[in-house]
Amino acid sequence: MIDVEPLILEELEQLAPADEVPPGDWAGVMSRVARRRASAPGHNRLRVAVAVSIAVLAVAAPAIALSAGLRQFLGFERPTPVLKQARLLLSAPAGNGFFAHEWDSPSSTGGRCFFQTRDHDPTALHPPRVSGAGACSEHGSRPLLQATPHLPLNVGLSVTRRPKHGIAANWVPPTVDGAVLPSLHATRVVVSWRGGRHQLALRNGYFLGGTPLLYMPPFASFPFYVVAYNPRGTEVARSKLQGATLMLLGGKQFAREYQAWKKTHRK
Amino acid sequence: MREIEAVYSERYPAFVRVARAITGDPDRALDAVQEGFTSAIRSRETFRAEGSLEAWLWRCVVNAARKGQRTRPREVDTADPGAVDPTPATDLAPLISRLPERQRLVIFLRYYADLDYRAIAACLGIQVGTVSATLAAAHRSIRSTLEEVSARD
Repeated sequence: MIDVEPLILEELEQLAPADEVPPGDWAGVMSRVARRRASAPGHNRLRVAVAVSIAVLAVAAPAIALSAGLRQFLGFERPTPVLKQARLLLSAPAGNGFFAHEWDSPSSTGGRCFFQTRDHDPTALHPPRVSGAGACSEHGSRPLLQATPHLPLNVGLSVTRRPKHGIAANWVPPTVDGAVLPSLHATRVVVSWRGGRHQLALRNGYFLGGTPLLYMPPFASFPFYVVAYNPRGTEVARSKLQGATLMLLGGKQFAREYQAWKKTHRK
Repeated sequence: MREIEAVYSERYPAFVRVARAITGDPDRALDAVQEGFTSAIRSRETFRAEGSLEAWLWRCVVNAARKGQRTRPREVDTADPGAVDPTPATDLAPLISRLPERQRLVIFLRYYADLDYRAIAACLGIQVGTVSATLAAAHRSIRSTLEEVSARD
């Protein structure tokens, strides 16, 4: 009797060799999600900052209560954070007088949540309401915000469109948050770009920080990276920030404009 | 969301290979994986944690790949059975491609994705016993054809 299993394995390997698979494009997935959301009925007014970077969605005005539509947009439609049991992961200056706070909490359906709040208080004791991006799971006790060996630097970027006619003091600059794999022993995490860098707060493997310099930066500043360093100053992890999100553009539009700019400004 | 991204990062090559096996086209495979994850994120509220997240994601990608396949049928499936087959008779590719769709899907998920029977069942929405029987039937069919060829030679 012929053992077909090894033959099948060999044949399948020839049909689609593993080494021919190109790298994945998570930003491309998120871009599709954003485009669908933008074109979905009822979401026409939520076109601000729908370009999404790596994990965290952009947010709307922080001081307003979240409407049902916005809650759904932010991923809080069904499970919501149990605010009374929220645990502060870390706080950091976000610029423009604001401080960002990253929280972990149980979700209302038995899962976990992580989310941000923004206010003018550098030492938040308890989240009064969700005023930033976040995500919740329906079930399971595993924290949502974590780094893994396959994702050693788990980075999120939140960008709020600066109001043209609103009160400038109410605008929260872009924030970068995430987690770095503990085994990398990172002691410093920075956002770096051509001609500048901004150090993020780092606590127990979580990092967070914001600066107006990340808001619609000039092409000359690109590319932007989040970089983690160990105590010896050696780089241990790096993740690129999506230019399309920073510039509040669609992925293709950003690529087109950036390429055009590079042709005229760089050799 | 980050859990979905983690599965995407970790298992991306396997998703692409299965999608490619279903669609028969590398470009459509890449598109199917992106589309499958887009659909998963958009409907993530429907995911029930009783099952495996990865199996649910596989279901989304397989559905996207099958949808792409229906939009543009694979050439190999529409081949005229009477036509001269340019591939050698012992080449397994045409044998696999002529298996019923469910058998092909089970084979791809078992050998490309390395999923266990329970995950395959969750992915295809069938019973675990059906997975076992389907895989056995696929093996039987391939083995029988190979033995016929072997006896003829």
